[in-house]
Amino acid sequence: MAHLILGGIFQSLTSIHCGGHTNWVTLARLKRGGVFEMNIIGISAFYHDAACCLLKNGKLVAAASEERFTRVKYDPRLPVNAFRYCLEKGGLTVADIDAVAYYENPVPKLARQLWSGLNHSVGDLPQMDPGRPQAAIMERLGYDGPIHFFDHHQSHGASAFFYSGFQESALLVVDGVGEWASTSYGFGQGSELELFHQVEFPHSLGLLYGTITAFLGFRVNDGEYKVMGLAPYGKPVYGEKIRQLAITEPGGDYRLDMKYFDFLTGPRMYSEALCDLLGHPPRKEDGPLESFHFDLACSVQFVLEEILLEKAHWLYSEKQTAHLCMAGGVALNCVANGRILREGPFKKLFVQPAAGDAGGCLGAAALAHIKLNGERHSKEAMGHVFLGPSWKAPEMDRLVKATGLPFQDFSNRESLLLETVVDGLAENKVVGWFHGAMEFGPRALGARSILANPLDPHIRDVLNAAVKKRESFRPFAPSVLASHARDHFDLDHASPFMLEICQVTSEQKLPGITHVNGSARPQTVDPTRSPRYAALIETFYQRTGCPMLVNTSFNVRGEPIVCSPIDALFCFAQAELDLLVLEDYLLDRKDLPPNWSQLLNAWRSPPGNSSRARSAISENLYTFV
Amino acid sequence: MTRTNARRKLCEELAASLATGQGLRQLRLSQILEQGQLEGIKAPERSQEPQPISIWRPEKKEGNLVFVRPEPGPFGDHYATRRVIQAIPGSGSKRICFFGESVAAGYLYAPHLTPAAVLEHQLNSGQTAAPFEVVDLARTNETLSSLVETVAASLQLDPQMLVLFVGNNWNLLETPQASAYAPSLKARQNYALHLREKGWEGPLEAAMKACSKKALDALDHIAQLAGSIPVVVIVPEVNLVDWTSRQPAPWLPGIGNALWYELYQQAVGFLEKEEWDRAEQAGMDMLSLDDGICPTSFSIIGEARKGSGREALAEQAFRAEVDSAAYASNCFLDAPRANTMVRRTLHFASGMHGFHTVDLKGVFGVLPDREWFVDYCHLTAKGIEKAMALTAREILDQFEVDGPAVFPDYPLAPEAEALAMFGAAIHGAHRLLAIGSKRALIRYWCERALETSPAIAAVMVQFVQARCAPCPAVMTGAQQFINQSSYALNLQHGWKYDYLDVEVIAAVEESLTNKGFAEADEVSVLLVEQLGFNRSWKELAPYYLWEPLEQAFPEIMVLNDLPSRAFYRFPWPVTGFCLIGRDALELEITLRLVHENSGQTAFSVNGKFLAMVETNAKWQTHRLVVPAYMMNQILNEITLHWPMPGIDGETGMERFTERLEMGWDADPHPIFGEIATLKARHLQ
Repeated sequence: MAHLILGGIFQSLTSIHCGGHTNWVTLARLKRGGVFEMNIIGISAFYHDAACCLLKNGKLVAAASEERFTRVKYDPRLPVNAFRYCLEKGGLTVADIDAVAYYENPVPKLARQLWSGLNHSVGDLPQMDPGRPQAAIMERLGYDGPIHFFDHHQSHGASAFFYSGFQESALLVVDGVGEWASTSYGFGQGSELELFHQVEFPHSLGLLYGTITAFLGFRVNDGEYKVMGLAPYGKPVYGEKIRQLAITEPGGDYRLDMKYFDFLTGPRMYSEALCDLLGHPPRKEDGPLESFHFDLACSVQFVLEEILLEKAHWLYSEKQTAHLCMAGGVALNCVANGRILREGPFKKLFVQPAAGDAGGCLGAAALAHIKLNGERHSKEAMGHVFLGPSWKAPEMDRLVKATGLPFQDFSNRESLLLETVVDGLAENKVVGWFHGAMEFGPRALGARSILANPLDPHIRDVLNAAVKKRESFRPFAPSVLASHARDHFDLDHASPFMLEICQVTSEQKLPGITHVNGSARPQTVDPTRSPRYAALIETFYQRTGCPMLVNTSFNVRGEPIVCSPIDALFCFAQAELDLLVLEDYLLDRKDLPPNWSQLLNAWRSPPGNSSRARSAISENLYTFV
Repeated sequence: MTRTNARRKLCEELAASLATGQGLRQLRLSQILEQGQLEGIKAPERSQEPQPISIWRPEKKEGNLVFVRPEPGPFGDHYATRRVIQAIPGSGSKRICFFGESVAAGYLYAPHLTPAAVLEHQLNSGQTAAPFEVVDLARTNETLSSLVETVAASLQLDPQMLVLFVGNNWNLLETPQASAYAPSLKARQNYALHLREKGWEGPLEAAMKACSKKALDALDHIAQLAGSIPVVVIVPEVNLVDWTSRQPAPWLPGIGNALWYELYQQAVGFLEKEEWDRAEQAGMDMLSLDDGICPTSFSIIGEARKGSGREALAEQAFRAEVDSAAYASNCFLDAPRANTMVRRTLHFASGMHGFHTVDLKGVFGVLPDREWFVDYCHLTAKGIEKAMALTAREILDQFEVDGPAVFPDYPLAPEAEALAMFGAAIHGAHRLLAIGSKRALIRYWCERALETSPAIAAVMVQFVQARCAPCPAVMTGAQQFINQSSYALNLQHGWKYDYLDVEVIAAVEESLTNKGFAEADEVSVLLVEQLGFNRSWKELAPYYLWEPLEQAFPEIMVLNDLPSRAFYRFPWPVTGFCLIGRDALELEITLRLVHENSGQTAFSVNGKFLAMVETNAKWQTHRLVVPAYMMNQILNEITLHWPMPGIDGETGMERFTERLEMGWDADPHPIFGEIATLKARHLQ
């Protein structure tokens, strides 16, 4: 890392003024000790799951999705709150930012939008403004320095390779679509990243999967996880038919047969021809799930895996290297990832934990760092994702006391806290666990988690129905002590980000975390990265002989994962959690006032429900006319 | 080249063109020419099947059709609390359906006292046979379109008369498309076009026209629906004395804005010193600059005339203020109040359709004030009694029934009345943009509440505790206490206010002290314990802003269709923050000016000069020390005095218009400064 020493030249000044006096003392801005600081903000926004990160002197010090602050799931708006958080975490003001990196290129993106829009909706044209991201960054964030734009897939690729710790790696980026590219093949070496081949819109594996997701009655860009979870219940009997939708071609190419898709010409993803091909009508949202749906989910999952495996082999043939980095929304398909690693030609795989669009901000920031410094920001692998806000003990103390709720204070008595929580877990109680800095990316990894006993045969149904309020088929993942992982799973390496599926090999019965096909998606927990969380699992192990816990994200259906302890209290009231741990404080559901949940629900009007067009002032303030 | 590739090339060329400022502007200019139509109110569709009436849904009970509403939430809702309405009126009873907005719903008094309940009480006070039944279908946030729907549905109740008490909401709720902050491209472009054509008068005239058309449409539909059923229209009156509109001046030619704010400053000084003539002259000078667009000038003139005892002239000025608030409604935060256009429209439509009118203008004196109003337009219990008495007389006349000489008072528990008064204090603190200090008005309501029901003192302290908590009030133990008391605050009492309620808290403390309540000390302790500073930096913006809504609108609002910002912008030349405690503090502020401005920004604490810093359009960070000797015991105000805008009004106006033409949000007035962060901590 290059450190530039500046001899008294500063970008802005801080002055000290004392009441009534005029003596000014000029201080160095935040260039402490004469060491130059390079602060790069990465931003992804305006499509899906906006996010912001801060690279401070090449160190990733903060990253968060906007949805966590606004409580609007997948909030695509400019990440104003995440930006403010990043500055606060970095001890910076907007004046201290040296560069902003944006995760895609608005002009080619608009060209692609026009290309697809011109087929059916000229009405969208008025809103299309390729200057919008730049204007928003300047006018809404108050930033007036240089903005660097990078292609969407470049950003995804960089978010994987430059955070992988690999010095050399093949790259595979797969998502719905960026500007034009939907699948990109590349190669990274040192500080260089090259995308050498791409498949372009409308041909897209992400859109293929999204189309079947929609056909199965789930929301695109949201329900893909559900399709993956549904797949093991079925058989790939429609594999051949799905193959008619997505036709592989030589090399890295494939194409979609557009007669089965309506997303270019109409308001829905699939066409009537797909209904005819499959011989079934599309499932309505919340309609019954039958064997056809299981089989269809299984088939699309199977075809996706097959195509990805085939393309991974081709990629390897082009760039013979031991490592593979993956990013893009499809890279969150951990079943496919597992197969690529097990059956593919690469020896090591790194998947960006925030592989979706949120993670694009990381890649953009890394690319800007190279552009400005000539070298990559880090040669180390991304060690953790605990990059979000955290709450200090005095703040938590004030909050807990202000609620007036009974609580137990375990400050400076961590082992007693863990014993007490394990008492509850062993009694099959469900625990909301809020500790440390929030995770970046879609997975809860022990900072904002709901925890339960994996040995409890009923826990999956309880969690799905009463706590998460979601479909009964959805599986749950375990957090297992890294040192015990091999004893229970077919896993020969660490999986700290919960991004791979493997078989459960345990001699213990683990109904809470074992999917219908005997698989699981474990997170290996290392005490050096997550000391308290590891200690909790260790305590549970000492008590039960089982070195793992059920770990699911701390939220209910339709809501983002909790960010603040206030969100956690709301979720505690909504979901049927038995215990809530807020750092050193333990709250018990039985102590809640009988109408507390009702009061809180009444307070929280649905997000996104206010509009100046309908009423001059939002009900988030209060009603008055 | 394949057809697909040709299309792609075309799109790439178009996108590249739109990426240039010129290309996008050409597109936007061509879009301006596509004119839209004025929005009207649709006639409701009729159905043979039972339809919901507002939130009352049709059900069969014991073979009879009834309409049943859902249970209100724990904080109430916007509707009358009557759970079941029989479709068929009781034998021999005369059923009247009562419609309207929050004034008609008894804002701050509901459910303990509502105009409909008072009216029914009065109508039945003189007779026993064939009682009147008043079905209360009024609701807070009523709009014209839902009014028409509710009237149409109410005919299922077989009413013998309809009473409408509407008009206060129209200036705010019926013309969102005529706002400079309107979310749609088309609306912004229309606003710009009107500006280009007629200056400030253009968009305001368009707003009035749109509003009037919607209202006339709605009243026309209601007349058709009513058929032979008589309709009584209550024409609203507003609080002229206690409610002002302190709005920032729009872009004014030349250095007009600087002159305007200088005059404003002088006028406030003259008003404080009761130099009425000089205050009025300053107001007149402001008026000559703003041409009557901005209500602030009229407010000052009205205040000055009232102070010098010229009531009739003061009334003229205050009514002009209400009328000119169309600018405020379109560009800034304002209060719902019936203006002259509303009154005329109601009278015009009534004349045309044969509605009977009860005009409240003049009923509360020449200069209606807090005796009759709890805020801008909502009536006190006394005001409701009086307004409904006039309405009752009109109804009795129509039914040719004799009433008593004097109507008896509606029974109202002191706890409920005190709650409404405390609500008036909270609501006024949040919503009043006063000329000078508003503390006296807020304190008045707090003290009246304490006089009416002394036990409310404990709730006031709990209110402060809930406000000081680091979480939404609803989550606090203090709020639990309040909910279980006889003074349960509900939807109407600013329950989602997210900022330090410094004006209310200060008024509560002063009132408790003035009235000799020991609880006064608890307020100070709470403030210091919960909101005081220590050695860690604490961010002041926006929570500690002294007047969030008036100093940082619209940035401070949660408006989902307006993108938020990562910093705060201030459309008034003075910005205040609250500092709590008596110890020396260190402040760190990152700020900048806008409009390419540069100049000195001054800081004062409790009215005394602290420091002056050079500021310009680049973000700069400054640290300041506030010595202990400048601090009060508990509440302190640190004030930033921004320099005047650095660009002339024509340039500002042109930029504003151009941005609207491009479909971008734009400010109709200067922004004086922006703050990215302001932090404070103990010096020691």
